[in-house]
Amino acid sequence: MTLKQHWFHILLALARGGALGAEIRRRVREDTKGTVKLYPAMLYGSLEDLQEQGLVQEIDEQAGRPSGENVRYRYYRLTRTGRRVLLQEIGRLEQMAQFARERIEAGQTK
Amino acid sequence: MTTTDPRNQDLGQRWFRFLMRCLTSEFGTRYGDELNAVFVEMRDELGENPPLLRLVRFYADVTFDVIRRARQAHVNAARQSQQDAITPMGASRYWSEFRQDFAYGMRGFTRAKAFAAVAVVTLGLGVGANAAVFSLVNAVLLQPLPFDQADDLVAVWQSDQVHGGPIATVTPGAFRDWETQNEVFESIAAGSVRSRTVSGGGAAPDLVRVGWVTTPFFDVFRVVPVVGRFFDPADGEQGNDRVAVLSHDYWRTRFASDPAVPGRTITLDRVQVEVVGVAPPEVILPLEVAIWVPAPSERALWENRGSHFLWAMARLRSGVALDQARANIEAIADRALRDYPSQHEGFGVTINPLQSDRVGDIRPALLMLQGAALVVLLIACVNLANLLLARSNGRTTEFGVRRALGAGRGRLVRQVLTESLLLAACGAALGVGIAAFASSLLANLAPAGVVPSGSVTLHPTVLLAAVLAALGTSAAIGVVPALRSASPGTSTVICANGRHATKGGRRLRETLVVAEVALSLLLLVGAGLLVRSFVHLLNVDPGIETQGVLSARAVIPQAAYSEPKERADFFRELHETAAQIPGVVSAGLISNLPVTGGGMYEWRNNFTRPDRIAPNRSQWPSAMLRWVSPGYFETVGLRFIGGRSLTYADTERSPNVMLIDETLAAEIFPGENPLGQRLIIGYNDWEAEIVGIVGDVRQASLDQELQPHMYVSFMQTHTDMFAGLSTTTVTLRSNVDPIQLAGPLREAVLRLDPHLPLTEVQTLQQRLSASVRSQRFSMMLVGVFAVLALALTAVGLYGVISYLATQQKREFGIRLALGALERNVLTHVLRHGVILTAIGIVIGIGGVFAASRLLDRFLFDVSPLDPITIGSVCVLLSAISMAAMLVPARRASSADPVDVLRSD
Repeated sequence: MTLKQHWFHILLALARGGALGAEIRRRVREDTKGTVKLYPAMLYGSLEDLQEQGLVQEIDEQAGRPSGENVRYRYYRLTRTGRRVLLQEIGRLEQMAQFARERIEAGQTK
Repeated sequence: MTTTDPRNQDLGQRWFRFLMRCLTSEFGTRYGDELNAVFVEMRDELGENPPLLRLVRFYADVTFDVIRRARQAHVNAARQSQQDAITPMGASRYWSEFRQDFAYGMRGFTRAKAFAAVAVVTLGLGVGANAAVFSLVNAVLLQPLPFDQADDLVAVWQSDQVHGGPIATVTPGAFRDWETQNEVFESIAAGSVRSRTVSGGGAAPDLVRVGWVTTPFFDVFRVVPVVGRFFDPADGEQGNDRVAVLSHDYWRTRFASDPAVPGRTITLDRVQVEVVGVAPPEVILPLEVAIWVPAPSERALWENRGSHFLWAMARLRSGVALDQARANIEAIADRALRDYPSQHEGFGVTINPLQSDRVGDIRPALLMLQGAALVVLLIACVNLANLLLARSNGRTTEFGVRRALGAGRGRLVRQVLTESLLLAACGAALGVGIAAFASSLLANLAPAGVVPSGSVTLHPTVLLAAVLAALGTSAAIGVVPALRSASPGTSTVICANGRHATKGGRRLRETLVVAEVALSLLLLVGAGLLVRSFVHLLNVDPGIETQGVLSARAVIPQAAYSEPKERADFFRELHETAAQIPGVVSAGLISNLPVTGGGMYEWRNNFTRPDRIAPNRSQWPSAMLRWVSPGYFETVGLRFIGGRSLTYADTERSPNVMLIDETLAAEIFPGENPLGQRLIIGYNDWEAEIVGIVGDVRQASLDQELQPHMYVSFMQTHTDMFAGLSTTTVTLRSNVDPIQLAGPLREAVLRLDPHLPLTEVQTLQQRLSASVRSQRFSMMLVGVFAVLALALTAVGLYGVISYLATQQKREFGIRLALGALERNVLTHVLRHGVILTAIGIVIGIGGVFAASRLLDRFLFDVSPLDPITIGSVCVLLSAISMAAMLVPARRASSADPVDVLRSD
C-alpha cells in the first residue's frame, strides 16, 4: 500500500511519540521546513481516515495519554500497524530511490 | 487557546466557521474546536502584519482545503446512503439527499438558464408586488392605532340629513350634550384646528396647525406626556388658558428635543403662552397638529348650537359595544331636537371606530390594489406551474431512466420538490428586493395625509408572509409535475423517448393558460377603466384657467387685527401690494380657493329668496359662500355669464351686492333673470342684490358634483360670517412662469407685516394635479400590474404553444413530407392557441361582469362595463397572445421534414 504524502508525514510525526493534532502539524512543518502545509480540514480529515485504516489511534489518559495537555482536544498515537506500514513505506521509498539512482547512473555511463 | 464563543471571534474566524458548515455535520461537531484552533495557530504564524498577497493566498488555501474535504466526505456519505437504501430514512440521510437534489437542481438550472430566469423573475414580481402593497395595507389598515385599547376609540360626528353628508362637524352645544349626558363613554373630547402664527425667538414667523381641544383630550388616548404635563380641567378657565402642549415632532424640530421646555413661553398670534408639556409621538390626531391649546370654558361658546366646527373623539367604557353607544347618543340627539328644534332639525349622529374613520375613503382603494396584486401573484403562480409542467414533460425520459435504475417514486418526488423550493427561494429573494424598493416608492407616491409618515416599512411579518407565499406556491405547484413525472410506467416512457406526453398533462396546461388569459383580461379591463376614468377626470372643466396663476395662503392673526375695519384695510393693502409686483397681470383674494382638494363635507350656508321665505330655516336652500376681492374673477379666469364684477366702489356705505354662479341661478331662478333680484343669507340675515353671474367651479375636487356658489365682497362682509375673515388665498396671474412670483410675493407680504407667514405657495396647475393624486396613484399601480399580467400571460402562452408544437413535431414532419403547405401547419398550431385565448377571454369577461359592482366606486364617468374598454382590451390581449404564439408556430411549420424525421 502506498501512502499519500501527507499521511506519510503525519505517521512520521507520530513516530516520535503521541501528540495533539496541532502538535502533529507543527512537527510536520518542522520536518519539511514548511513545504508540506497541513491545513485544518486536511489534518483532521487525514487523522480520521488514518484511524479508519487502523494506522493511528486516539487515546485517553487511561491508555497512557500524558496529563496536562488540553483535555478537550484529541490525543493521537501511532498503532503497531501504523508503525509497520510506515516502516514498509520507508523501505519502499528506499528501494525506489535506489532503483532510480541506478537507472540514472546507468544512463550516464552508457 | 481558542474559544467557540462567537462574540470573541474575529472576521477570519467567522469566515472559517462559516466554511465549516460545508463539512458533514458529523465531522464538524467532532473536530470543530480543534479545526478552529489549528486555523488560528496557522494564521498567527503569518505574523502581525503579513503582506496582503500572503494573506490572500492563506485564506484561499484554507477555503480550498475545507471544500476539498467536504466534497470527499459527501461523496463518502452518498456512497454510504446507497448501501443502506433499504434501511429506513434517518434525518441525516434526508439532509444529504436534499443536498444532492439541491446540487442537481442547481446544475439543471444552469443548463436551463432561460427557464430558471423566467421562473424566478415571474415569482419575484408576484411576491414583490404583493409584499409592497401589503406593507402599505398593513401600515394604513391593519396596524391598530398605537394607543392602549385602541379598539375602544371612536369618532363622533353629526350627520347632515338634508344635504346628505354622513359626516358633519359638531356644534359646541351638541357636544356639551354628549359630554354631560352620555352613559357610554369613559372620556370624550372635542376640538378644532386653526392655523396660527408662532413668532419670536429670532426665528422667522412660522404658520403652524394649532389644535384647540377640550382638556380631557389626552385622557381619551390614555397617553402620558414625554416631559411636563397635559391639561388640567382648570386650564380652560379664563386666566389659566395661556398654556400649550407641543407635538413631539414640533418639539423635536423647533426645540431640538430640549427636555427643559416646560415653563418656556412661545408667542402664538402675538399672545404669550407657556409650554407645559410635550405629547408622545403617536398622538398625531388630528392631522399634523404642532401645538395644542385648551379650549376656553366660557358658557356662551358652549351654548352655540348653530356653528358646526368641532370634531369629537371618545373612548368607550370597557364592555360597551358600538351599537349601544350609537343608541345612547341618538337618544341624546332626540332630546336636543325636542328642546331646540330649529337648530337640530335635519341633523343626526354618526359614530365610527376611530381607525376606520381616519382611513375613510382610502380603504376600498387599498383593498382594490391588494386584489390587483393578488391577481398578479395568481398569474405568476399559474405561469410557474406551466413552466414546471413543461420542464417535467421534457424530463419524462430522464425520470423513466432513473426509475429503471432503482430510484423510488418518493425519491423522484422529493427531488422535483427540492427543485421547486430552490426556484421559490430565489424568487422570494428577488421579491423581497423588489418589495423593499417598491414599498418606499409607494409610500412616496401615496396621497398625502393617509399614510402615517415612516410607517410604511417592510415589516418582518410581511416579509415572512411573502417568502412563505412563494415557498408554498411553488411547493404546491411542484407537487403536481412531481407526481406526474413519477407515475408513468418505466418501460413505456423510455421506449416512447419522451414523445408521448400524457393527455392529462396537456389538459392541465391548457386549463392554466385559459386561467391566465382570463385573469389578465380582468386586470387589463380594470386598468383600462381606471385610465379612462382618469382621462375623463382631467378633462373636467375646473371652471377656472389654471395656466399662469400662482396662489398662496395667508392667515392673519386675529389678535393683531381685532377690528373688522383693520382686517378689511389689511386685505385691501395686501391686494394692492400684490397687484403691483412686476410681472403680475392681475391679482385677487378669495376666502377658499376652488379645486384645492379640501372640504369634502364643507359647510354650506343657508339662504333664501326674500319672496319665498320658508318658515323653518333648515328647509332653506344652501350654497357655498365665498368672499372675494375685486379682480379675483379676472385673475383665475372665471367665466362671466352676465352682469358686472365687484369693484372697490362696493363698500360698506354702498348697497350690498353679490354674484352667483350658473348652478345657483338655475336652481333658484329657473326661467328668470337673476340680475337685479335679491337674496338673504341665513347668517345675520344679510341681504344683497345680485349684480353678476359667473361660471361654475369645482369646489373640493374634480370628481365632485357642481355646488352652487355665492360670492360677496370682503369690503361689505367683515362681520363674523367668515370666522373672523382671517384666512385668505392670494392669487396672481402672470405672463411669465408664475412660480417666479413666489419670492417677490413673499417679500411684499413681509414688508406689509413681518409677522405674517405665507403658506402653500403653489401654482394652480400644481394644486389641480395634487387634487387628482390619489386617482393617479391607483391608476398607475393597477396599470403596472396589468402590464405585468399581460407580459406574464404572453410568456405562458408562448410556453404552451411551443410545447404543443414540439409534441407534434413528428406529425408535422410527416405532413410536410406528404406535401402539406407551411401555411397549413401554421394555422393548425395557431388555431389551438386562438381557441384557448378565446375561452380565456370569454371567462374573463364573465369575471368583469361579476366584479363590476366592486369597480364602480373607483370610476368617474365610466361604466364598469364600458364596451370600448372591454373591446380594446380583448383586441390587445388577442394581438399579444397571437404574437406570443407566432414564434413557436413558425418554428414548427418551417422545420425541414427530413431533419425532423431523422431526429427520431
